[in-house]
Amino acid sequence: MRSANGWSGFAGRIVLLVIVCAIVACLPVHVAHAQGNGRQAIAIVVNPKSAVTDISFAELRRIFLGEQQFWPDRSKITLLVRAPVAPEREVVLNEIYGMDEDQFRQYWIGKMFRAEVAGGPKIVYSSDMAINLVGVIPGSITFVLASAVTPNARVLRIDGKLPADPGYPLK
Amino acid sequence: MRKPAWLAEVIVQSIAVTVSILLALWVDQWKQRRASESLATESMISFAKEIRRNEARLDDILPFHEGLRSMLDHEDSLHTIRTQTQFQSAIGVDGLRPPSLLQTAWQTAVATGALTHLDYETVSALSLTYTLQDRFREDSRAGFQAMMQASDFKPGEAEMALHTADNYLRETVTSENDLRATYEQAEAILKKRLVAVGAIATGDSVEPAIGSHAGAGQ
Repeated sequence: MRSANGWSGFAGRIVLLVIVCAIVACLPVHVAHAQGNGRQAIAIVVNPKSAVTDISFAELRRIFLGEQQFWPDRSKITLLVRAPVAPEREVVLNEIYGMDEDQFRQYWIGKMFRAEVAGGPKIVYSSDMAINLVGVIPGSITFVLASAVTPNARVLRIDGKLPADPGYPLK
Repeated sequence: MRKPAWLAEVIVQSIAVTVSILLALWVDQWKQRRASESLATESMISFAKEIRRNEARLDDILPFHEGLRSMLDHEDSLHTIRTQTQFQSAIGVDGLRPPSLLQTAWQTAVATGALTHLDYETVSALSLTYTLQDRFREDSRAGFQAMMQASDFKPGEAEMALHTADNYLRETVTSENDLRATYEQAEAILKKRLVAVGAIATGDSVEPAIGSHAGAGQ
């Protein structure tokens, strides 16, 4: 009787161990998947009349930093940026600017003070507003979650890659 | 009758003293005129730079305001905006703020009396420019406040808010274009004066435009 009970207890422990191992094994996959959802790719959208289709990440960075204020065809670049707390803004601040909100604000105040730019980025409050505005402002550029891109929006390739491609830098 | 030798000496010395005094006065006057001309040139350069910067600020905001207006017309025609949240999400509020324009050069010139060293035509043009700029700022502020009040609407009253925002943007864009044209006129007058006093050459500009094309295509 006693050995039968001991055997069933041992088997129970084995089953429990297998279940724990299975959960631990699945955990990284689940976390990675969750992270993937939290950090969607960010699409860079430009005015449909823009002649630019592909830019390097370095050039994109110069544009977002206000160091390059004109397109190669000499049209003025209007930078549209989402208001704080939007997830895509967070990605852009991290990946392109390498700044937090305070540094970002200080950066643009400094540039305006030194008269290096005439004004800071223009604030938009939704992906729809960003895409609609970029469609009507010549030379404008903005960023939205790749999932928010509409069929009429003109998405730029960065270093030859679109948001869905592997190795796309803004994820 | 012979004149005494001392009289000749007194006359010569008197003439020498008078000439010296006149020369000193002339040098002093010349230095003052130079200082005034220098102050006038300096203040004209300062005006030209400030007007150029304000012009750049208008150039920076104008396409955005025009884009917002065009977008607003589109939204209005579709009747998609019904709530405050939709209004905020579609056009925002911060973006409707007028640009902040500088008037430091004008205030400094008034405070230091530099305007008295400028010619009438230049002072008149600058006075008109800064008066229009003041009016633009006051009108924009009033329009923006009216729009803010209108944007605080109840469901079903979105149309009124959209019309107020549309009116505000239309007037703002018109005023910005008018002010820009005024800046161009003032800039032309300043440039003419600066060329006349030899501060700049005919083809030169006082200051390169902000974010000039130098970076294009880099």
